[in-house]
Amino acid sequence: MDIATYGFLGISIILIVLALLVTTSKKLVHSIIFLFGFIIMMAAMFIYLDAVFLGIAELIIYNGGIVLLLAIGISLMPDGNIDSKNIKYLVMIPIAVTAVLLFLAMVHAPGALTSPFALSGFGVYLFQNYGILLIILGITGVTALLSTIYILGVDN
Amino acid sequence: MVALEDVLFLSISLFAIGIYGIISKRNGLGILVSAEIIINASLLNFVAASSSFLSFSGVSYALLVLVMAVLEAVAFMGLLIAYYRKTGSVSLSKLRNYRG
Repeated sequence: MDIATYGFLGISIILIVLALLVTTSKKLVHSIIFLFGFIIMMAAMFIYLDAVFLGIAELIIYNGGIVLLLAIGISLMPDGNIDSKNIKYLVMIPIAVTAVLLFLAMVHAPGALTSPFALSGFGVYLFQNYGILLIILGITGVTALLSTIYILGVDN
Repeated sequence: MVALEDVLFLSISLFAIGIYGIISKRNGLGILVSAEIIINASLLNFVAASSSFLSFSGVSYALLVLVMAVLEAVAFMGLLIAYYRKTGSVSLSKLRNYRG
């Protein structure tokens, strides 16, 4: 194995461990902190796969937006037993462990995976081929924002 | 570089962990965090396939999915705060009281 494969294995193991910590933490604040690290490692994986633009967007959007939003949401919640779990479903932990072991068992010698991605031309390609989709996405975003403001303002 | 299958197995593992989180959690915020793991697994699938098949389409769709995930999270948080104001709890198991 070359050093690139070692890098992939390292990032993958850290990703799986952080995902397990996110889902099994008893306190939500700890889950959010582990999610912060998970997003950073996922961005590293994207950059490793030569999707540099998406990796940077992931860092900015998730760690700058969603994690902060979740932190603010947790600060609005009460203390106490908000981290209650369905005990009867805890038997599914072996399924997750099996999935992790399956991944570790199936990783084998590296093959050829070439990626020609670069930042040049990506924006032009995106807006030439997905302009309509982006407009629809913008309208959906504005609708979601207005509906959220309305929902939050109903009680007031 | 690594083979496509390796990235797909990583994605499967993350998806399984996210499904476990959604099933085992009872509060809405925990479910949202687990859903983010699943969304990231799907993004990893997009990027790996795009890189393997030498096409930009996967990364473009992944970017669209990423933005939609943000919108979904914002809307879910708004609904969750409204739900907390109404019920005094973020446990989604109380939704059964509203079954019509």
